[in-house]
Amino acid sequence: MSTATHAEHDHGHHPTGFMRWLTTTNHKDIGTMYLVFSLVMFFVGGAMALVIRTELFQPGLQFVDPAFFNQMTTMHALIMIFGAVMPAFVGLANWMVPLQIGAPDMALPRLNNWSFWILPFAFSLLLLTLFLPGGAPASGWTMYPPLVLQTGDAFPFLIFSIHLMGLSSIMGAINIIVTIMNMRAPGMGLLKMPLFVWSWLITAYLLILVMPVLAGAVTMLLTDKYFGTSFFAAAGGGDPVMFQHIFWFFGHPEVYIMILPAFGIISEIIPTFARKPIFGYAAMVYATASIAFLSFIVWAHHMFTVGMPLAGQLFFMFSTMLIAVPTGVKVFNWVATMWRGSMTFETPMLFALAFVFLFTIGGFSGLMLAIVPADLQYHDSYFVVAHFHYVLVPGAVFAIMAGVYYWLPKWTGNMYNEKMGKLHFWITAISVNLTFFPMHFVGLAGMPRRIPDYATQFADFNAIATVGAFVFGFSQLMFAWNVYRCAKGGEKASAEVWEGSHGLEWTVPSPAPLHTFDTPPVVK
Amino acid sequence: MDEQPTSRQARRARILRNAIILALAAAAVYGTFILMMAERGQGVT
Repeated sequence: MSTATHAEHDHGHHPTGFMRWLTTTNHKDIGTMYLVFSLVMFFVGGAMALVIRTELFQPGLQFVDPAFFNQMTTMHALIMIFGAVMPAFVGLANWMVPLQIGAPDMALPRLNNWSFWILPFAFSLLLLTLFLPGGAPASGWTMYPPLVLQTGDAFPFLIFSIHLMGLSSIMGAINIIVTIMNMRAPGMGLLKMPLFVWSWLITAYLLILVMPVLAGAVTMLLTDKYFGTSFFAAAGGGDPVMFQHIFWFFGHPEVYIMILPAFGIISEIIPTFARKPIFGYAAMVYATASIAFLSFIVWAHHMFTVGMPLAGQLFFMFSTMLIAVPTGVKVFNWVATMWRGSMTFETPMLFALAFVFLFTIGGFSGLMLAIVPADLQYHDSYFVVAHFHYVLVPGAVFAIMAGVYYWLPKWTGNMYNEKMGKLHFWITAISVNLTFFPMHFVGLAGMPRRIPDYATQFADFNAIATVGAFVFGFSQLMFAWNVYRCAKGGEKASAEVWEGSHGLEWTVPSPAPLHTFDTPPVVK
Repeated sequence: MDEQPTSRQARRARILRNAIILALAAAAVYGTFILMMAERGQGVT
Protein backbone atom coordinates (compact mmCIF):
# COMPACT_ATOMS: atom_id res chain seq x y z
CA MET A 1 0.00 0.00 0.00
CA SER A 2 1.34 3.41 -0.83
CA THR A 3 1.53 6.29 1.61
CA ALA A 4 -1.36 8.69 1.29
CA THR A 5 -1.02 12.24 0.11
CA HIS A 6 -2.28 14.78 2.55
CA ALA A 7 -1.82 18.17 0.96
CA GLU A 8 -4.35 20.71 2.17
CA HIS A 9 -6.61 22.02 -0.55
CA ASP A 10 -7.07 25.71 -0.93
CA HIS A 11 -10.45 26.39 -2.41
CA GLY A 12 -10.17 30.09 -1.59
CA HIS A 13 -13.19 30.20 0.71
CA HIS A 14 -13.23 28.79 4.22
CA PRO A 15 -16.29 29.54 6.32
CA THR A 16 -15.49 29.64 10.02
CA GLY A 17 -17.40 29.08 13.22
CA PHE A 18 -20.91 27.68 12.94
CA MET A 19 -21.05 28.21 9.17
CA ARG A 20 -18.11 25.86 8.74
CA TRP A 21 -20.07 23.05 10.37
CA LEU A 22 -23.37 23.95 8.70
CA THR A 23 -21.93 24.00 5.20
CA THR A 24 -19.20 21.38 5.43
CA THR A 25 -19.16 18.55 2.91
CA ASN A 26 -16.03 16.95 4.37
CA HIS A 27 -16.58 13.39 5.53
CA LYS A 28 -14.39 13.88 8.61
CA ASP A 29 -16.29 16.99 9.74
CA ILE A 30 -19.63 15.27 9.15
CA GLY A 31 -18.41 12.15 10.96
CA THR A 32 -17.43 14.30 13.93
CA MET A 33 -20.84 16.01 13.94
CA TYR A 34 -22.63 12.65 13.88
CA LEU A 35 -20.51 11.40 16.79
CA VAL A 36 -21.02 14.52 18.91
CA PHE A 37 -24.75 14.47 18.18
CA SER A 38 -24.89 10.82 19.15
CA LEU A 39 -23.06 11.48 22.44
CA VAL A 40 -25.49 14.27 23.33
CA MET A 41 -28.46 12.01 22.55
CA PHE A 42 -26.81 9.21 24.58
CA PHE A 43 -26.85 11.46 27.64
CA VAL A 44 -30.41 12.69 26.96
CA GLY A 45 -31.71 9.13 26.52
CA GLY A 46 -29.60 8.05 29.50
CA ALA A 47 -31.18 10.71 31.70
CA MET A 48 -34.59 9.29 30.75
CA ALA A 49 -33.38 5.80 31.67
CA LEU A 50 -32.38 7.16 35.08
CA VAL A 51 -35.89 8.58 35.57
CA ILE A 52 -37.23 5.09 34.83
CA ARG A 53 -34.75 3.43 37.19
CA THR A 54 -35.39 5.98 39.95
CA GLU A 55 -39.10 5.19 39.86
CA LEU A 56 -38.33 1.47 39.91
CA PHE A 57 -35.86 1.69 42.81
CA GLN A 58 -38.66 0.72 45.19
CA PRO A 59 -42.14 -0.77 44.70
CA GLY A 60 -44.95 1.80 44.72
CA LEU A 61 -45.30 5.11 42.92
CA GLN A 62 -42.67 7.53 44.19
CA PHE A 63 -41.39 10.10 41.75
CA VAL A 64 -43.36 10.29 38.51
CA ASP A 65 -46.94 9.59 37.52
CA PRO A 66 -47.55 6.50 35.37
CA ALA A 67 -48.36 8.50 32.23
CA PHE A 68 -45.00 10.28 32.40
CA PHE A 69 -43.28 6.96 33.11
CA ASN A 70 -44.70 5.61 29.84
CA GLN A 71 -43.48 8.72 28.03
CA MET A 72 -39.99 8.11 29.43
CA THR A 73 -39.85 4.46 28.30
CA THR A 74 -41.02 5.43 24.81
CA MET A 75 -38.71 8.41 24.42
CA HIS A 76 -35.73 6.58 25.94
CA ALA A 77 -36.04 3.86 23.30
CA LEU A 78 -36.61 6.18 20.35
CA ILE A 79 -33.72 8.45 21.34
CA MET A 80 -31.27 5.65 22.07
CA ILE A 81 -32.05 3.71 18.88
CA PHE A 82 -32.46 6.49 16.34
CA GLY A 83 -30.53 9.28 18.07
CA ALA A 84 -27.60 7.58 19.79
CA VAL A 85 -26.71 4.14 18.37
CA MET A 86 -27.52 4.64 14.69
CA PRO A 87 -25.92 8.10 14.32
CA ALA A 88 -22.82 6.86 16.17
CA PHE A 89 -22.32 4.08 13.62
CA VAL A 90 -23.00 6.49 10.74
CA GLY A 91 -20.43 8.85 12.26
CA LEU A 92 -17.86 6.07 12.44
CA ALA A 93 -18.70 5.10 8.83
CA ASN A 94 -18.28 8.70 7.71
CA TRP A 95 -14.89 8.97 9.32
CA MET A 96 -13.52 5.55 8.53
CA VAL A 97 -15.04 4.16 5.31
CA PRO A 98 -13.31 6.66 2.97
CA LEU A 99 -10.06 6.29 4.94
CA GLN A 100 -10.24 2.50 4.85
CA ILE A 101 -10.98 2.22 1.13
CA GLY A 102 -8.55 4.97 0.09
CA ALA A 103 -11.23 7.42 -1.14
CA PRO A 104 -10.83 11.21 -0.89
CA ASP A 105 -14.37 11.65 0.52
CA MET A 106 -17.86 10.19 0.36
CA ALA A 107 -19.27 9.91 -3.16
CA LEU A 108 -22.12 12.38 -2.52
CA PRO A 109 -20.77 14.96 -0.06
CA ARG A 110 -23.68 17.42 -0.23
CA LEU A 111 -26.18 14.64 0.40
CA ASN A 112 -23.98 13.67 3.34
CA ASN A 113 -24.29 17.15 4.83
CA TRP A 114 -28.07 17.06 4.38
CA SER A 115 -28.33 13.58 5.93
CA PHE A 116 -26.74 14.89 9.10
CA TRP A 117 -28.50 18.23 9.38
CA ILE A 118 -31.94 16.63 9.14
CA LEU A 119 -31.27 14.87 12.45
CA PRO A 120 -31.20 17.85 14.85
CA PHE A 121 -34.56 18.95 13.42
CA ALA A 122 -36.02 15.45 13.73
CA PHE A 123 -34.98 15.13 17.37
CA SER A 124 -36.00 18.69 18.24
CA LEU A 125 -39.49 17.81 17.00
CA LEU A 126 -39.49 14.62 19.04
CA LEU A 127 -38.14 16.20 22.23
CA LEU A 128 -40.47 19.20 21.98
CA THR A 129 -43.42 16.84 22.41
CA LEU A 130 -42.48 16.67 26.11
CA PHE A 131 -43.82 20.23 26.40
CA LEU A 132 -47.05 19.70 24.44
CA PRO A 133 -50.47 19.23 26.07
CA GLY A 134 -50.74 15.51 26.83
CA GLY A 135 -46.97 15.14 26.82
CA ALA A 136 -44.71 13.00 24.67
CA PRO A 137 -45.68 9.77 22.89
CA ALA A 138 -46.24 7.04 25.48
CA SER A 139 -47.17 3.94 23.50
CA GLY A 140 -43.70 2.38 23.40
CA TRP A 141 -41.24 2.71 20.51
CA THR A 142 -43.21 -0.01 18.68
CA MET A 143 -46.17 2.40 18.28
CA TYR A 144 -48.80 -0.35 18.16
CA PRO A 145 -52.30 0.77 17.17
CA PRO A 146 -54.87 1.31 18.55
CA LEU A 147 -52.89 2.51 21.61
CA VAL A 148 -50.66 4.88 19.66
CA LEU A 149 -53.72 6.50 18.07
CA GLN A 150 -54.64 7.78 21.54
CA THR A 151 -51.51 9.97 21.53
CA GLY A 152 -52.45 13.65 21.84
CA ASP A 153 -50.90 16.59 20.05
CA ALA A 154 -47.57 14.76 20.03
CA PHE A 155 -48.75 12.29 17.38
CA PRO A 156 -48.02 14.26 14.18
CA PHE A 157 -44.68 15.37 15.68
CA LEU A 158 -43.78 11.73 16.32
CA ILE A 159 -44.73 10.65 12.80
CA PHE A 160 -42.94 13.54 11.11
CA SER A 161 -39.79 13.08 13.17
CA ILE A 162 -39.71 9.38 12.26
CA HIS A 163 -40.10 10.27 8.61
CA LEU A 164 -37.17 12.66 8.92
CA MET A 165 -35.00 10.08 10.71
CA GLY A 166 -35.83 7.55 8.00
CA LEU A 167 -35.01 10.01 5.24
CA SER A 168 -31.67 10.77 6.87
CA SER A 169 -30.86 7.07 7.26
CA ILE A 170 -31.81 6.21 3.67
CA MET A 171 -29.73 9.07 2.25
CA GLY A 172 -26.80 8.06 4.45
CA ALA A 173 -27.14 4.43 3.33
CA ILE A 174 -27.26 5.38 -0.37
CA ASN A 175 -24.12 7.43 0.13
CA ILE A 176 -22.26 4.60 1.84
CA ILE A 177 -23.17 2.00 -0.81
CA VAL A 178 -22.29 4.33 -3.68
CA THR A 179 -19.00 5.28 -2.02
CA ILE A 180 -17.93 1.70 -1.39
CA MET A 181 -18.97 0.53 -4.85
CA ASN A 182 -17.34 3.37 -6.78
CA MET A 183 -14.56 4.98 -4.77
CA ARG A 184 -12.30 2.13 -3.70
CA ALA A 185 -8.59 2.52 -4.30
CA PRO A 186 -7.19 0.65 -7.31
CA GLY A 187 -6.50 -2.94 -6.36
CA MET A 188 -8.98 -3.04 -3.50
CA GLY A 189 -11.35 -5.76 -4.64
CA LEU A 190 -14.48 -6.47 -2.65
CA LEU A 191 -12.81 -9.33 -0.79
CA LYS A 192 -9.88 -7.12 0.17
CA MET A 193 -12.04 -4.56 1.94
CA PRO A 194 -11.68 -4.18 5.71
CA LEU A 195 -14.45 -5.97 7.62
CA PHE A 196 -15.81 -2.70 9.01
CA VAL A 197 -16.43 -1.58 5.43
CA TRP A 198 -18.06 -4.90 4.58
CA SER A 199 -20.31 -4.74 7.63
CA TRP A 200 -21.42 -1.23 6.67
CA LEU A 201 -22.03 -2.16 3.02
CA ILE A 202 -24.43 -4.90 4.13
CA THR A 203 -26.00 -2.67 6.81
CA ALA A 204 -26.64 0.05 4.25
CA TYR A 205 -28.56 -2.37 2.03
CA LEU A 206 -30.62 -3.40 5.08
CA LEU A 207 -31.38 0.26 5.76
CA ILE A 208 -32.58 0.90 2.22
CA LEU A 209 -34.84 -2.14 2.35
CA VAL A 210 -36.43 -1.59 5.77
CA MET A 211 -36.53 2.13 6.58
CA PRO A 212 -39.19 2.72 3.87
CA VAL A 213 -41.26 -0.05 5.50
CA LEU A 214 -41.22 1.87 8.79
CA ALA A 215 -42.05 5.07 6.90
CA GLY A 216 -44.95 3.29 5.20
CA ALA A 217 -46.24 1.95 8.53
CA VAL A 218 -46.19 5.35 10.25
CA THR A 219 -47.73 7.04 7.19
CA MET A 220 -50.63 4.58 7.46
CA LEU A 221 -50.94 5.39 11.18
CA LEU A 222 -51.11 9.07 10.26
CA THR A 223 -53.86 8.54 7.71
CA ASP A 224 -55.75 6.27 10.12
CA LYS A 225 -55.75 9.03 12.72
CA TYR A 226 -56.39 12.09 10.59
CA PHE A 227 -57.73 11.07 7.18
CA GLY A 228 -60.38 8.46 7.93
CA THR A 229 -58.57 5.39 6.62
CA SER A 230 -58.79 2.04 8.41
CA PHE A 231 -55.50 0.32 7.67
CA PHE A 232 -55.20 -0.84 11.26
CA ALA A 233 -58.62 0.01 12.71
CA ALA A 234 -60.68 -3.15 13.23
CA ALA A 235 -63.94 -1.15 13.27
CA GLY A 236 -63.34 -0.08 9.67
CA GLY A 237 -62.23 -3.50 8.43
CA GLY A 238 -58.54 -2.98 9.17
CA ASP A 239 -56.20 -5.23 11.12
CA PRO A 240 -54.17 -4.01 14.11
CA VAL A 241 -52.08 -7.20 14.08
CA MET A 242 -51.01 -6.35 10.53
CA PHE A 243 -49.24 -3.28 11.95
CA GLN A 244 -47.22 -5.56 14.21
CA HIS A 245 -46.19 -7.66 11.19
CA ILE A 246 -45.16 -4.57 9.22
CA PHE A 247 -43.43 -2.97 12.19
CA TRP A 248 -41.36 -6.05 12.95
CA PHE A 249 -40.56 -6.61 9.28
CA PHE A 250 -38.70 -3.34 9.79
CA GLY A 251 -37.89 -3.88 13.46
CA HIS A 252 -35.93 -7.08 13.30
CA PRO A 253 -33.54 -6.03 10.51
CA GLU A 254 -33.24 -2.79 12.51
CA VAL A 255 -31.74 -4.84 15.35
CA TYR A 256 -29.06 -6.04 12.92
CA ILE A 257 -28.57 -2.52 11.59
CA MET A 258 -27.50 -1.73 15.15
CA ILE A 259 -25.24 -4.76 15.55
CA LEU A 260 -23.59 -5.54 12.16
CA PRO A 261 -21.40 -2.39 12.21
CA ALA A 262 -20.49 -3.39 15.78
CA PHE A 263 -19.30 -6.75 14.43
CA GLY A 264 -17.23 -4.83 11.89
CA ILE A 265 -15.55 -2.69 14.57
CA ILE A 266 -14.73 -5.70 16.74
CA SER A 267 -13.30 -7.48 13.68
CA GLU A 268 -10.92 -4.53 13.22
CA ILE A 269 -9.84 -4.26 16.86
CA ILE A 270 -9.22 -7.89 17.82
CA PRO A 271 -6.65 -8.57 15.04
CA THR A 272 -4.80 -5.35 15.94
CA PHE A 273 -4.38 -6.21 19.61
CA ALA A 274 -3.88 -9.94 19.02
CA ARG A 275 -1.27 -9.02 16.37
CA LYS A 276 -2.66 -11.59 14.00
CA PRO A 277 -4.79 -11.30 10.86
CA ILE A 278 -8.46 -12.04 11.35
CA PHE A 279 -9.20 -15.78 11.34
CA GLY A 280 -11.54 -16.71 8.46
CA TYR A 281 -11.93 -13.38 6.65
CA ALA A 282 -14.20 -14.77 3.94
CA ALA A 283 -16.28 -16.69 6.50
CA MET A 284 -16.78 -13.40 8.40
CA VAL A 285 -18.09 -11.72 5.24
CA TYR A 286 -20.44 -14.57 4.40
CA ALA A 287 -21.62 -14.81 8.02
CA THR A 288 -22.49 -11.09 8.00
CA ALA A 289 -24.41 -11.49 4.73
CA SER A 290 -26.19 -14.58 6.10
CA ILE A 291 -27.25 -12.77 9.27
CA ALA A 292 -28.57 -9.90 7.12
CA PHE A 293 -30.56 -12.31 4.93
CA LEU A 294 -31.96 -14.24 7.90
CA SER A 295 -32.99 -10.98 9.59
CA PHE A 296 -35.79 -10.66 7.00
CA ILE A 297 -37.43 -13.98 7.76
CA VAL A 298 -37.64 -14.00 11.56
CA TRP A 299 -39.83 -10.98 12.35
CA ALA A 300 -42.83 -12.81 13.83
CA HIS A 301 -40.77 -14.12 16.78
CA HIS A 302 -41.51 -10.71 18.34
CA MET A 303 -45.23 -11.47 18.32
CA PHE A 304 -45.73 -15.19 18.98
CA THR A 305 -48.35 -14.32 21.61
CA VAL A 306 -50.75 -12.63 19.16
CA GLY A 307 -51.51 -16.07 17.81
CA MET A 308 -50.49 -17.62 14.53
CA PRO A 309 -50.76 -21.04 12.87
CA LEU A 310 -48.51 -23.78 14.21
CA ALA A 311 -46.58 -23.87 10.92
CA GLY A 312 -45.90 -20.14 11.32
CA GLN A 313 -44.67 -20.60 14.88
CA LEU A 314 -42.35 -23.42 13.82
CA PHE A 315 -41.00 -21.50 10.82
CA PHE A 316 -40.20 -18.37 12.81
CA MET A 317 -38.77 -20.38 15.71
CA PHE A 318 -36.37 -22.38 13.54
CA SER A 319 -35.39 -19.48 11.29
CA THR A 320 -34.56 -17.48 14.42
CA MET A 321 -32.44 -20.28 15.83
CA LEU A 322 -30.64 -20.51 12.49
CA ILE A 323 -29.16 -17.04 13.13
CA ALA A 324 -27.07 -18.62 15.87
CA VAL A 325 -25.04 -20.42 13.18
CA PRO A 326 -23.46 -17.41 11.38
CA THR A 327 -23.26 -15.55 14.71
CA GLY A 328 -21.44 -18.56 16.18
CA VAL A 329 -19.05 -18.49 13.21
CA LYS A 330 -18.22 -14.91 14.08
CA VAL A 331 -17.66 -15.55 17.78
CA PHE A 332 -15.53 -18.59 16.92
CA ASN A 333 -13.43 -16.54 14.48
CA TRP A 334 -12.85 -13.76 17.00
CA VAL A 335 -11.72 -16.30 19.58
CA ALA A 336 -9.58 -18.11 16.98
CA THR A 337 -7.97 -14.79 16.02
CA MET A 338 -6.93 -14.30 19.64
CA TRP A 339 -5.69 -17.88 19.95
CA ARG A 340 -1.91 -17.79 20.39
CA GLY A 341 -1.86 -14.10 19.54
CA SER A 342 0.51 -11.66 21.24
CA MET A 343 -2.34 -9.96 23.00
CA THR A 344 -2.23 -6.66 24.85
CA PHE A 345 -5.16 -5.16 26.66
CA GLU A 346 -5.49 -1.49 25.83
CA THR A 347 -8.92 0.11 26.33
CA PRO A 348 -10.30 -0.68 22.83
CA MET A 349 -9.33 -4.35 23.27
CA LEU A 350 -10.93 -4.49 26.74
CA PHE A 351 -14.20 -3.19 25.32
CA ALA A 352 -13.92 -5.62 22.37
CA LEU A 353 -13.35 -8.60 24.69
CA ALA A 354 -16.28 -7.56 26.88
CA PHE A 355 -18.34 -7.26 23.71
CA VAL A 356 -17.58 -10.85 22.67
CA PHE A 357 -18.45 -12.19 26.10
CA LEU A 358 -21.49 -10.08 26.97
CA PHE A 359 -23.02 -9.89 23.49
CA THR A 360 -22.96 -13.69 23.51
CA ILE A 361 -25.02 -13.66 26.72
CA GLY A 362 -27.57 -11.48 24.89
CA GLY A 363 -27.48 -13.94 21.99
CA PHE A 364 -28.15 -16.90 24.26
CA SER A 365 -31.15 -15.26 25.94
CA GLY A 366 -32.35 -14.48 22.40
CA LEU A 367 -32.24 -18.19 21.62
CA MET A 368 -34.31 -18.85 24.74
CA LEU A 369 -36.87 -16.30 23.56
CA ALA A 370 -37.03 -17.96 20.14
CA ILE A 371 -38.50 -21.13 21.66
CA VAL A 372 -42.25 -20.64 21.19
CA PRO A 373 -43.60 -22.32 24.36
CA ALA A 374 -40.95 -20.60 26.46
CA ASP A 375 -41.61 -17.25 24.77
CA LEU A 376 -45.28 -17.49 25.71
CA GLN A 377 -44.03 -17.22 29.30
CA TYR A 378 -41.20 -14.72 28.77
CA HIS A 379 -43.11 -12.35 26.45
CA ASP A 380 -43.45 -8.77 27.75
CA SER A 381 -41.48 -9.64 30.88
CA TYR A 382 -38.25 -8.09 32.16
CA PHE A 383 -36.40 -11.07 30.69
CA VAL A 384 -36.95 -9.48 27.28
CA VAL A 385 -35.67 -6.15 28.63
CA ALA A 386 -32.55 -7.93 29.93
CA HIS A 387 -32.06 -9.69 26.58
CA PHE A 388 -32.15 -6.68 24.31
CA HIS A 389 -30.18 -4.48 26.67
CA TYR A 390 -27.38 -7.08 26.67
CA VAL A 391 -27.41 -6.95 22.88
CA LEU A 392 -27.55 -3.17 22.67
CA VAL A 393 -25.47 -1.91 25.60
CA PRO A 394 -22.49 -4.27 26.05
CA GLY A 395 -23.14 -5.12 22.39
CA ALA A 396 -23.65 -2.04 20.24
CA VAL A 397 -22.64 0.65 22.76
CA PHE A 398 -19.46 -1.15 23.86
CA ALA A 399 -18.48 -1.60 20.20
CA ILE A 400 -19.01 2.12 19.58
CA MET A 401 -16.86 2.98 22.61
CA ALA A 402 -14.22 0.46 21.50
CA GLY A 403 -14.23 2.06 18.04
CA VAL A 404 -13.96 5.59 19.45
CA TYR A 405 -10.98 4.68 21.69
CA TYR A 406 -9.40 2.77 18.77
CA TRP A 407 -9.65 5.52 16.16
CA LEU A 408 -9.58 8.60 18.44
CA PRO A 409 -5.77 9.03 18.18
CA LYS A 410 -6.14 8.95 14.38
CA TRP A 411 -8.84 11.64 14.51
CA THR A 412 -7.21 13.97 17.04
CA GLY A 413 -3.49 13.21 16.70
CA ASN A 414 -3.31 12.69 20.47
CA MET A 415 -3.45 9.62 22.66
CA TYR A 416 -6.33 9.49 25.10
CA ASN A 417 -5.63 8.92 28.80
CA GLU A 418 -5.15 5.15 28.95
CA LYS A 419 -5.50 4.93 32.75
CA MET A 420 -8.80 6.77 32.67
CA GLY A 421 -9.91 4.65 29.68
CA LYS A 422 -9.27 1.44 31.61
CA LEU A 423 -10.99 2.79 34.71
CA HIS A 424 -13.94 3.80 32.54
CA PHE A 425 -14.02 0.28 31.07
CA TRP A 426 -13.99 -1.55 34.40
CA ILE A 427 -16.63 0.65 36.05
CA THR A 428 -18.78 0.40 32.92
CA ALA A 429 -18.38 -3.37 32.55
CA ILE A 430 -19.26 -4.02 36.20
CA SER A 431 -22.15 -1.56 36.38
CA VAL A 432 -23.70 -2.72 33.11
CA ASN A 433 -23.96 -6.26 34.51
CA LEU A 434 -25.23 -4.92 37.82
CA THR A 435 -27.96 -3.10 35.90
CA PHE A 436 -29.11 -5.70 33.42
CA PHE A 437 -28.27 -9.13 34.85
CA PRO A 438 -30.86 -8.97 37.70
CA MET A 439 -33.50 -8.17 35.06
CA HIS A 440 -33.22 -11.80 33.87
CA PHE A 441 -34.23 -13.00 37.33
CA VAL A 442 -37.17 -10.63 37.85
CA GLY A 443 -38.34 -11.36 34.32
CA LEU A 444 -38.26 -15.11 34.82
CA ALA A 445 -40.10 -14.60 38.10
CA GLY A 446 -42.87 -12.79 36.23
CA MET A 447 -42.22 -9.04 36.43
CA PRO A 448 -43.84 -7.38 33.41
CA ARG A 449 -42.00 -4.68 31.43
CA ARG A 450 -43.22 -1.08 30.97
CA ILE A 451 -44.73 -0.75 34.45
CA PRO A 452 -43.95 1.98 37.03
CA ASP A 453 -44.90 -0.21 40.02
CA TYR A 454 -44.38 -3.88 40.81
CA ALA A 455 -44.94 -6.61 43.38
CA THR A 456 -42.71 -6.46 46.46
CA GLN A 457 -40.89 -9.74 45.73
CA PHE A 458 -39.05 -7.98 42.89
CA ALA A 459 -37.77 -5.17 45.14
CA ASP A 460 -34.19 -6.32 45.83
CA PHE A 461 -33.20 -7.01 42.24
CA ASN A 462 -34.77 -3.73 41.12
CA ALA A 463 -32.85 -1.80 43.75
CA ILE A 464 -29.60 -3.42 42.54
CA ALA A 465 -30.45 -2.59 38.92
CA THR A 466 -31.10 1.04 39.82
CA VAL A 467 -27.78 1.39 41.66
CA GLY A 468 -26.03 -0.19 38.66
CA ALA A 469 -27.80 2.16 36.25
CA PHE A 470 -26.68 5.27 38.16
CA VAL A 471 -23.08 4.07 38.33
CA PHE A 472 -23.20 3.19 34.62
CA GLY A 473 -24.77 6.52 33.67
CA PHE A 474 -22.41 8.75 35.63
CA SER A 475 -19.30 6.76 34.67
CA GLN A 476 -19.97 7.76 31.05
CA LEU A 477 -18.95 11.29 32.02
CA MET A 478 -15.41 9.88 32.27
CA PHE A 479 -15.70 8.78 28.65
CA ALA A 480 -16.90 12.23 27.54
CA TRP A 481 -14.12 13.89 29.56
CA ASN A 482 -11.43 11.56 28.16
CA VAL A 483 -12.57 12.22 24.58
CA TYR A 484 -12.67 15.98 25.23
CA ARG A 485 -9.18 16.02 26.78
CA CYS A 486 -7.84 13.94 23.92
CA ALA A 487 -9.30 16.37 21.37
CA LYS A 488 -7.63 19.26 23.21
CA GLY A 489 -4.16 17.76 23.58
CA GLY A 490 -2.06 15.01 25.04
CA GLU A 491 0.75 12.69 24.06
CA LYS A 492 1.20 12.81 20.28
CA ALA A 493 0.09 9.76 18.31
CA SER A 494 2.13 8.24 15.48
CA ALA A 495 0.59 7.50 12.08
CA GLU A 496 0.40 3.81 12.92
CA VAL A 497 -0.92 4.50 16.48
CA TRP A 498 -1.13 0.81 17.45
CA GLU A 499 1.74 -1.65 17.04
CA GLY A 500 -0.44 -4.28 15.38
CA SER A 501 -2.53 -1.97 13.21
CA HIS A 502 -2.78 -2.46 9.48
CA GLY A 503 -4.90 -0.92 6.74
CA LEU A 504 -5.01 2.29 4.72
CA GLU A 505 -6.29 4.47 7.57
CA TRP A 506 -3.00 3.95 9.41
CA THR A 507 -0.92 5.17 6.46
CA VAL A 508 -2.12 8.77 6.81
CA PRO A 509 -0.63 10.99 9.51
CA SER A 510 -2.30 11.47 12.90
CA PRO A 511 -4.39 13.59 13.07
CA ALA A 512 -5.76 12.65 9.66
CA PRO A 513 -5.55 15.81 7.53
CA LEU A 514 -8.82 17.33 6.30
CA HIS A 515 -8.15 15.98 2.81
CA THR A 516 -6.68 12.51 2.33
CA PHE A 517 -6.06 10.23 -0.63
CA ASP A 518 -6.39 12.97 -3.27
CA THR A 519 -4.15 10.64 -5.25
CA PRO A 520 -5.57 7.16 -4.80
CA PRO A 521 -3.23 4.73 -3.03
CA VAL A 522 -2.51 1.45 -4.78
CA VAL A 523 -3.47 -1.67 -2.87
CA LYS A 524 -1.38 -4.72 -3.68
CA MET B 1 -18.91 -4.30 -9.55
CA ASP B 2 -15.23 -4.92 -8.91
CA GLU B 3 -14.22 -3.01 -12.05
CA GLN B 4 -13.84 0.71 -11.41
CA PRO B 5 -14.38 3.28 -14.20
CA THR B 6 -11.18 5.14 -15.00
CA SER B 7 -12.34 8.56 -16.16
CA ARG B 8 -13.75 11.12 -13.75
CA GLN B 9 -16.91 11.65 -15.81
CA ALA B 10 -17.60 7.93 -16.12
CA ARG B 11 -17.22 7.49 -12.38
CA ARG B 12 -19.49 10.45 -11.66
CA ALA B 13 -22.14 9.13 -14.02
CA ARG B 14 -21.99 5.71 -12.36
CA ILE B 15 -22.23 7.25 -8.88
CA LEU B 16 -25.35 9.20 -9.85
CA ARG B 17 -26.87 6.19 -11.62
CA ASN B 18 -26.28 3.99 -8.56
CA ALA B 19 -27.70 6.61 -6.18
CA ILE B 20 -30.85 7.10 -8.27
CA ILE B 21 -31.46 3.34 -8.54
CA LEU B 22 -31.10 2.92 -4.76
CA ALA B 23 -33.41 5.89 -4.06
CA LEU B 24 -36.01 4.46 -6.45
CA ALA B 25 -35.72 1.08 -4.74
CA ALA B 26 -36.43 2.71 -1.37
CA ALA B 27 -39.41 4.61 -2.81
CA ALA B 28 -40.72 1.40 -4.37
CA VAL B 29 -40.58 -0.45 -1.04
CA TYR B 30 -42.46 2.43 0.64
CA GLY B 31 -45.17 2.55 -2.02
CA THR B 32 -45.54 -1.20 -2.32
CA PHE B 33 -46.26 -1.69 1.37
CA ILE B 34 -48.91 1.04 1.47
CA LEU B 35 -50.59 -0.16 -1.74
CA MET B 36 -50.52 -3.74 -0.53
CA MET B 37 -52.23 -2.74 2.71
CA ALA B 38 -54.78 -0.57 0.88
CA GLU B 39 -55.71 -3.47 -1.43
CA ARG B 40 -55.90 -5.82 1.54
CA GLY B 41 -58.32 -3.40 3.27
CA GLN B 42 -60.55 -3.53 0.18
CA GLY B 43 -60.54 -7.31 0.19
CA VAL B 44 -58.38 -7.59 -2.96
CA THR B 45 -55.79 -9.91 -1.39
